[in-house]
Amino acid sequence: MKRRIDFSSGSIWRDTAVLFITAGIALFLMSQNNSSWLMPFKRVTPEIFSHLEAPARDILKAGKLRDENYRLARALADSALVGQWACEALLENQRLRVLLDLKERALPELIAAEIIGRAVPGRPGRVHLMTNSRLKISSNCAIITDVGLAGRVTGRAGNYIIGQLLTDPAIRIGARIQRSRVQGIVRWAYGNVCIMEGVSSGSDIIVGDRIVTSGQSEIYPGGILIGYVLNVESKRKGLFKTVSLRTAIDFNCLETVMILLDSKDSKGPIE
Amino acid sequence: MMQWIVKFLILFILIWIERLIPSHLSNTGFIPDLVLIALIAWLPRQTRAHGMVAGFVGGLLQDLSSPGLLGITALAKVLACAAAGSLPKGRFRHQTIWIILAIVVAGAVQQLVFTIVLRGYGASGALIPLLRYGLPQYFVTIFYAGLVGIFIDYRSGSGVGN
Repeated sequence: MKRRIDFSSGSIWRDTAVLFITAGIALFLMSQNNSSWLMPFKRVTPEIFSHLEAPARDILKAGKLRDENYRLARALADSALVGQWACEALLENQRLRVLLDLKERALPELIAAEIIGRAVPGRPGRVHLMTNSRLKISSNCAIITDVGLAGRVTGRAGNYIIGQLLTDPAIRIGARIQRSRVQGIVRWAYGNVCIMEGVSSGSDIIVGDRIVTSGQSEIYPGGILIGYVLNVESKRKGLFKTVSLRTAIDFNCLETVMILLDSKDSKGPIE
Repeated sequence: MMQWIVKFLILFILIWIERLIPSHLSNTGFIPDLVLIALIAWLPRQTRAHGMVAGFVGGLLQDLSSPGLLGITALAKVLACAAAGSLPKGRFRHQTIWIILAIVVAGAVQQLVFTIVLRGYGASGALIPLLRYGLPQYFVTIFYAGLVGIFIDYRSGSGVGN
């Protein structure tokens, strides 16, 4: 009588057979680990897994992009802020160097002052200046920069000095064309543009000519640059030319100025 | 047949996850053996023979996914499933307890196989470095297996073998 082995579900025989077969295959594979016929499988399958992982790794990295973007944006903002501070310091340093150079160049006593605000609302030509100097500053002292003439001192309000810039409608400056020595009166027109009046129609003026203070004024010393000729208009029957000039100073960016102490017509100290 | 295809795909995906996001799964840096957890979680619903075949397939896939010693994980998984399948299934009210017990046994068998085979094979002569990685992974696997057991209990609300 034959004994039948029960391979039904849960049979010990079946379990044992499966155990031996699978373990045997595993042991056989281990013994053949370095065989040449297995090498293609061992080389290809990890590559397949790597290829399958690549897109998912990209997706996982994409999840971190938001945080990284935020971090980079913050770092960029910090850097930009530091850059702005550095730029401001550099510009201030350049301005002060130029002013120092100007002071050393010759002009009599100069006092550095900082524009801290408008003295009269709606009139950008009237400004408050602040200086650390203990010297007494007279009214009608000229205000200059390293570039050219900025205006004059008109008085004092408390601790501040009141300055009248070229952009004030009330200012008038005796001027001349540096090349041809033609004289006239400069007044503000708009923005950084002034008009030179009183120039006879036959005068020799060309666009680009330098316009400087005439020196005949009792306020401003001669030879200080005011601006450059922008346009020259002659009326057919008129006696005078209309000369437009662009100021040497960009008054939109003006921050630091120098007060020239020995202007000709200083009317005595103002307290 | 369909059931085996699904199991194969699940094992494949688990190996893929194991390779893909190791650092996301464990704060300790040790990856739980997701394949072993899945095999143990399936055991109560199938015969031990089926469990061993699934263990062989899962182990072989793990071996093929890395350029190591081919067959070692297959052997370890087969023996682990055989050992875990020998545990009595009907004595525990909650699957969580059985799964934890099974994973403790299966994980120990698997680590034992790794240690013996690797030492015998000469791939790793020193025992300490082997255990230094193997033991933490063993405990991390037990921890995650417990979580899986709790989830299964929550979903089914029934004990093992009922």
